[in-house]
Amino acid sequence: MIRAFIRKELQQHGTYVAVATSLAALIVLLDAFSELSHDPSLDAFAAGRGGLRIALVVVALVVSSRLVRKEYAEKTQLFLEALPLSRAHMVLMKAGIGLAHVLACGGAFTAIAFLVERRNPLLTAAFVAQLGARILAFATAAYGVCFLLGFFGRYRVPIVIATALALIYLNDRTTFDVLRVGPFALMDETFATERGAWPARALLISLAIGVGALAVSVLLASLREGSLAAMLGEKMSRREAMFFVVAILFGASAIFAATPKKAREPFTLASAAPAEGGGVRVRVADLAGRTEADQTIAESLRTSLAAAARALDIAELPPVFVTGRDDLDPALVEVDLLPDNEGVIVRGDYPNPRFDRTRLFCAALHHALVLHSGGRLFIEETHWLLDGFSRYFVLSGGAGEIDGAVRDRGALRVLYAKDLGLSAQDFDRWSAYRERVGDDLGEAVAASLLLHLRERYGEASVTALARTVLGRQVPKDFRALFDRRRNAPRRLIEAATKRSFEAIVADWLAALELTRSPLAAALARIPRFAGAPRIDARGKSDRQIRFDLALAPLPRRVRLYYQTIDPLTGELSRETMRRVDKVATAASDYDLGETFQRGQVVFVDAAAHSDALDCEVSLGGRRLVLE
Amino acid sequence: MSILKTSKLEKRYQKTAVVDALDLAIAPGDIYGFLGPNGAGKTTTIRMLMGIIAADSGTIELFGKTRRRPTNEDKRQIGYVSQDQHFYPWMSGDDLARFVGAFYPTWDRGEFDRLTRRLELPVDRKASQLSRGMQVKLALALALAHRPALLILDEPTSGLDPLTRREFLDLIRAQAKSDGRTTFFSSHIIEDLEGTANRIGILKNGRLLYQGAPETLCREIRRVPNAPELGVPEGFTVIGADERGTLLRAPEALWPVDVGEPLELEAAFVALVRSTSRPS
Repeated sequence: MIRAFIRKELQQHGTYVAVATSLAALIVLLDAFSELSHDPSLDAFAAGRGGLRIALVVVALVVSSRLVRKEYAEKTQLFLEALPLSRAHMVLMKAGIGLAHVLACGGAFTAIAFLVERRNPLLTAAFVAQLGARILAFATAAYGVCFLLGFFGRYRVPIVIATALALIYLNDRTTFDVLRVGPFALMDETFATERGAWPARALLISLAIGVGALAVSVLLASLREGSLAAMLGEKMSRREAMFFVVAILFGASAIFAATPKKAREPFTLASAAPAEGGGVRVRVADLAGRTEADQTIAESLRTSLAAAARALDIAELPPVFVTGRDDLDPALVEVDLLPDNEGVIVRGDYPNPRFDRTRLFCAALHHALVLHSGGRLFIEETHWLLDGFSRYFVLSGGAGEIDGAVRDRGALRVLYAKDLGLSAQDFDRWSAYRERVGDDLGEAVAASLLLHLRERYGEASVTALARTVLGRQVPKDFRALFDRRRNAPRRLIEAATKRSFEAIVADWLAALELTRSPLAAALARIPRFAGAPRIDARGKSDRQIRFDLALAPLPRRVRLYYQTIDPLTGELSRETMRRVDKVATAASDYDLGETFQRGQVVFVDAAAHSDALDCEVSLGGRRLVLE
Repeated sequence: MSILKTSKLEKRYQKTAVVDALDLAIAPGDIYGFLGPNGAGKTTTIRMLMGIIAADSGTIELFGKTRRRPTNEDKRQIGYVSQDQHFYPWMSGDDLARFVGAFYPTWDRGEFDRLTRRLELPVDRKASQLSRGMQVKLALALALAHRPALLILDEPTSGLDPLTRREFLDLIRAQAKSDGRTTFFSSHIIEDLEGTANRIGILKNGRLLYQGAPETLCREIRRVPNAPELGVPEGFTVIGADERGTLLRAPEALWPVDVGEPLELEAAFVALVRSTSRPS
C-alpha cells in the first residue's frame, strides 16, 4: 500500500519536483560560483550556504504545494478517503515522502560539499556532522511550515505575505532578532565558521517547528472530517483576493508607519576577551574557545590602536574583532568590514607562536581608518598614505618597542621594491603601483617614505599630515570634492616642506641607497623575476596564458595569480584571486592551465615567497587583453 | 442476522440533525434500496457507513462487529461507488486498478479485467477522457474487483443515460444473484429499485419513514375513494389525497381484501414522503 502510494505520488509529481530540484541545484551552483568569484578562499559549505538556504525553501514549497495543494484543489482527497486509508495515515505518508525528498536534497549538498572538501583539514568529521545537522534541521523546519501552508489552500499566499511582514516587523522594529533564532540562525553567516559549539537551541527550535507544523497539518486535515481543509482548498474569489490585497497593504503600511525602526544591536563576539579604553574597543575570541592568551592580545592591540588614535586625534575608532583561523598561514591575516560600519573583523592564526602581530595591528588600524573615513581614503591621492601609515607607526615606535626583525625586513623590502623601479608618479597612481608590486612591498614603500619625512622634517610634520588626511572625518557631500584637492598628501607635503614632491622622493631614493651595502648580500639571495606572460591562441576564440620566466635564485615554488576583469571589477587583491602553484624549475615555461575567451581582460602575475622579506615577490601584475 | 446494522445513528451539523436516530438493518444477500428525496441524509448516512465521517452518536454493526466508526479492516470488505467520481484525471483505468488494488488484499485483477470487458470500458484511456457514464462503470469495476462482501452505492445512476443506467443495474443484479453479494444502494429514482431491491428504506429529514419489502409498502398504502365520509377506522392513518381519493396507510393485515386500490411503489413513496405523519 505504501509502495503504491509512493509510486502514485512519484508518477503525479515526479516531473515537477525533478524540475524544481534541478532549478534549486542551479541556484546553489550559481550562488556558490558568485561567492567564490568574490572570495576564492571560501570552502564549499560556506560558498553554497546562501544558495542552499533559498534552494531548500524552493524545493519545500514546490513539493508541499504539489503533494497537498494539488490534492485538495482537484478534490482527489475524496477518492483517497473512500479507500481503506485514514486521513492521518494519508497526510503522514505525504509528509514523509516530501520530507524525505527535501532531506535528501540537504543530504546531497552535504555529501557533495564534503567530497569537494575532503582534503580540507579544517573539515573534520565532527564539524561536517554539525553542518549536516544544521542543514537537515533547517530543511525539516522549512518543509514542515510549507507543508502546513499547503493545507491553508487559497489563504496560503496571504498567510505567507502576512508572516513575512510580521517577521520583518519583529526584526526591524522590536528588540527580537528573528535572524538569530531557530532555522534562521542555523544558516546564518556563522554556518561554516562556528565550529566551537553545536547550536543546540537553534537545532531544537527548528526541529520543533518542523515536527510541530507537520502535527498541526495532520490535525488540520482531520478537523471537521477534513471538510475544513477541503473548503480552504477551493479557489479564491476575486472579491476575497481584493480584500486580502487591500488588508495586507493597508495593515502593513499603517503598522510600519506607526512604529519606529529599532536601532540595530551592535555586533558582538560571544565570550570574547574584551579590552576597552582610549577610544578603542577590541574583542578577541578563538572559535575553539576563549583562552588567557586572548586577553593579552586584546590588551596589547588595544594599547597600540589607542596610541594610533591619539596620534591621529581620533576620539573613537571603530571596534575591532579578532577571531582565530588556524587554516591561515601565521604570517597572514584576513580582514572583513562589518555592515553598517559596525567594525572590523580580523581573522588569523593568532594563537600560533609564529603569528605576525605587527601585521595584525597594521591590518586592524588600516581597516579601522577606512571605516572611520567612510571609505574616503581609498581614493587614489590618499591611498598610499593609508597603506603606509600603520607600518610607519610601528617602525617609528608609536605602537611600542620596535622589533628589529620587522625594521630590517622593512628596509629590505623597500630596497627590493626600489630595484623594481620606483618614482614619485607611482604615488599618484598608487593602485596600479600596488597591483604591480603586491600589498606588502607597497606598504613597505609608503611607510619608508613617511619615515624619511619624519627624519628630515620632524615627527610633527608627519603627524600633522596623517591627522589632516587620515584622522579627519569629511562630510560626504560636495565638500568632499574640495577637500580631496585641498588636502591631498602630495599638496600638503609640498606646502609643509616648501619643496616639490619629486625632489623629496629623489632625496628619499638617494637615502635608501645609503642603506644598501649592509643588506646587499641578503638582497642578492631574494629571487628576482625576469620574463613576461605570453598569450597563446588556441583556435579562433580560445586563448591560453603561459609565462616565460627566468628566476634567479630559484625559489621552491612559483605561484601564478590570475583574475578575469570586467568593467565592474573593483580594486584587485591577491587574496581573492585564483592561484596556481607550480614547482619552480630551471625550465622557464609555466602554463596557467585555463582557457580564456578572446576579448577577455585578465590580470596575471607570477610570484614566489621570499623568506628574507617574509612576503611574496612578483614579476609584476599586468592586465592582458586577450586579442 | 445482519451484515450491516445501525442503532440510533445520528449526525448533526450545528443544531440540525442530518441523520436522526437511524436504525437500519440489512441482511446478507439483500439488495437494499435506500430511498429519499434530495437532502434527506442518504449521502451523510453512507459516508458514516464508509467511515469517511464519524457519527455523533449511535453505533454501526458491520460483519457482526459493533463500532462507532468502521475501521480500515471493515472497509477492505466493502466496495464503494460514490455519488461523484474523483479519480486522478491523469490516471488510466489500468493505473487506477494498480493503485486501488494495492489497498485490498483480496484484489482480483482477473475479475477487474472481466468486469471492464463486460462494461466495454477502455482501460487504457485516462479518467479525464471518460464520460460520466464510463467513470461510474469504472468505479463499479474498481469496487467489485476485490470481491467485497458488501457493496455500497451512493446514487450511482443519477445523471446517466437510460442505456448506461440499464447496463449498470443489470450488472448489480447479476452480481447479487451470482455471488449473493449484499448491496446497499441509495437513490431518489424509484424506477432503479423496482425489480432490483428486495428491501427498501425510506429516509426523510434524516429519519427513517419505512423499512421493509417494497411490495409490503405498496400494500400498506391504498387509495380509498371518499374515505373521509366513511370515517377513518382505528389503525388507519390518512397520509394524503389526490383527485381519485384519499391515501390511507395501515398495516397490511388490517386492510380488507377488496377495499382500496394498492399503489405503485413510486406513488407510495411520494405519498409517504409528502405526509407529515410519522410511522409508529
